Amino acid sequence: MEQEERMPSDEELVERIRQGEQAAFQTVVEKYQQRMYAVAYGLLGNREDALDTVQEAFVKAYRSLAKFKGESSLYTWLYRITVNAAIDLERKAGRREEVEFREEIEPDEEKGEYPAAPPSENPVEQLMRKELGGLIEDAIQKLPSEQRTAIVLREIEGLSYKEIAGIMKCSEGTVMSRLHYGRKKLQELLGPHLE
Amino acid sequence: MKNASVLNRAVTLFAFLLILFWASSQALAQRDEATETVRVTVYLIEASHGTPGADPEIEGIVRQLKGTFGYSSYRLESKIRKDIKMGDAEKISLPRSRVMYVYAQGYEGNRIKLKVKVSEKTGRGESRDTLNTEFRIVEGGTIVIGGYDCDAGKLIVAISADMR
Amino acid sequence: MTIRCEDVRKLLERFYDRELKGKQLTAVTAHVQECVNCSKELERIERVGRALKAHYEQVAVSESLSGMWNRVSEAIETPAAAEPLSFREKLLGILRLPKPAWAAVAAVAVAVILVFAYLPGNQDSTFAANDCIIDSVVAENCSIMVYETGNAGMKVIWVMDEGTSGTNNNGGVTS
Repeated sequence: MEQEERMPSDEELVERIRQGEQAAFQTVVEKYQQRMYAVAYGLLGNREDALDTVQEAFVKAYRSLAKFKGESSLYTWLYRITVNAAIDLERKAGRREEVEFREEIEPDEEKGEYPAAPPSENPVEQLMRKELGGLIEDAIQKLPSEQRTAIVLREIEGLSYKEIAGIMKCSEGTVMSRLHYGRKKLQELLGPHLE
Repeated sequence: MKNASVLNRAVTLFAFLLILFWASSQALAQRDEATETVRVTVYLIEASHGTPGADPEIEGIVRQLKGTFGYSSYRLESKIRKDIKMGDAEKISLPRSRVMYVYAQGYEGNRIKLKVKVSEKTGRGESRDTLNTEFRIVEGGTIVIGGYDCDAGKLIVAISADMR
Repeated sequence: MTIRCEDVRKLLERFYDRELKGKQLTAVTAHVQECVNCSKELERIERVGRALKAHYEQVAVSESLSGMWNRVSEAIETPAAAEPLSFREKLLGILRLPKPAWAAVAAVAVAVILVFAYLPGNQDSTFAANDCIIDSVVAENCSIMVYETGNAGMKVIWVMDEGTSGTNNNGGVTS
């Protein structure tokens, strides 16, 4: 009887990377690249910048693996680096005000890859989804960057107000306000298409 | 013999200069003609006499505006980024059924050439152009078009352009 | 604990975001089960949230990230400290150039200056001073003013919007 190959845990992978096994880091990249890309794309709004950001985040993670103490989950740590890399990219391009990232952020859920797209979707449904996707991306890019960041972190990643406040270096009240105005604007732009 | 050597060097240098001049002109001309993309960032700002303050993202623009305008509040209503291919245009909706069209016309003398048109609905399903302007802006430069009525004050549209 | 719709609306986003606790959570949960209007409002918030999440997850699923590992591994193999060192080396290389090479560098400089001097559209004296040159402004059914403002001389085209009143509307210009 064939035995199913067991996926190594993140702790095991980190240990193997520390011992110089690059294949273990490849496993980490392949495991988390999709979620990191979703956030980077949401924050930056274009494919090339999002891909660069994810690459940059993995490289930074590899080079600073010694600093990873294992106090938070590997995903949480990678996630922090991705958000910082996206903020850095926007800052370099002069598109964003100064926002810093703090250490205490710890999203509480361990997350893996997204489930694949439903195979049952017919061409009409696909077209409608693409059109709606365009509207969503246009709408989210119309938000000021603080509102956009709050919305992406909340709606896509499901982070708590406290975690978002830590990332955006503002109070939880400000997070609520940014989410509120962002949602109001999105409701205005997308609401009629979602009825 | 010495004079001949100097002459040779001078001729070589002159030929080199000519080749370089030609190559540089060609490269620059190609950039003008290439189908490049302009990234236009449009900030829709509501200026009013309300609670003093300005969104951090538009502080730089507001600092410039404050020299001339007497508004106390500058609120960023929305930020729109459009990548426009040379020769193409993008449409941006403004409050009160106004529409702004931004045309990327070319790249001339280190400046991006843009045309901006503002149209408004006349009420019978038709629209008329109220403003039509053409300008050349340096990369990363900002121009402001404002004065339209909006909810609590005046609409200020700040347009920045960069080559992609 | 009973709660009014007005108060529920203020708490609805926090409820949706699972940030409510204790009595507030109990009260809002009970209220949205009973109140049609508040549950519709909650549904509106949920609908936008669901659409965003579904879209960006779909974007990530559709993107072929199969090349990511190659990009990452190539970047990892490039030593992080190589960039400043190589720049320094390049700089030293330039300084160690023999005399004819220096002459070539000078020639490049002269050529670049010549190219820029002869470029059409670059001959205006305002190039260094202004970010923007306005070639034309045409306004219909409204008056306009063009200002130059701030230290950077930012150009402002101000439209006297006559949509609401015929009174002076020059944006509260201070000078």
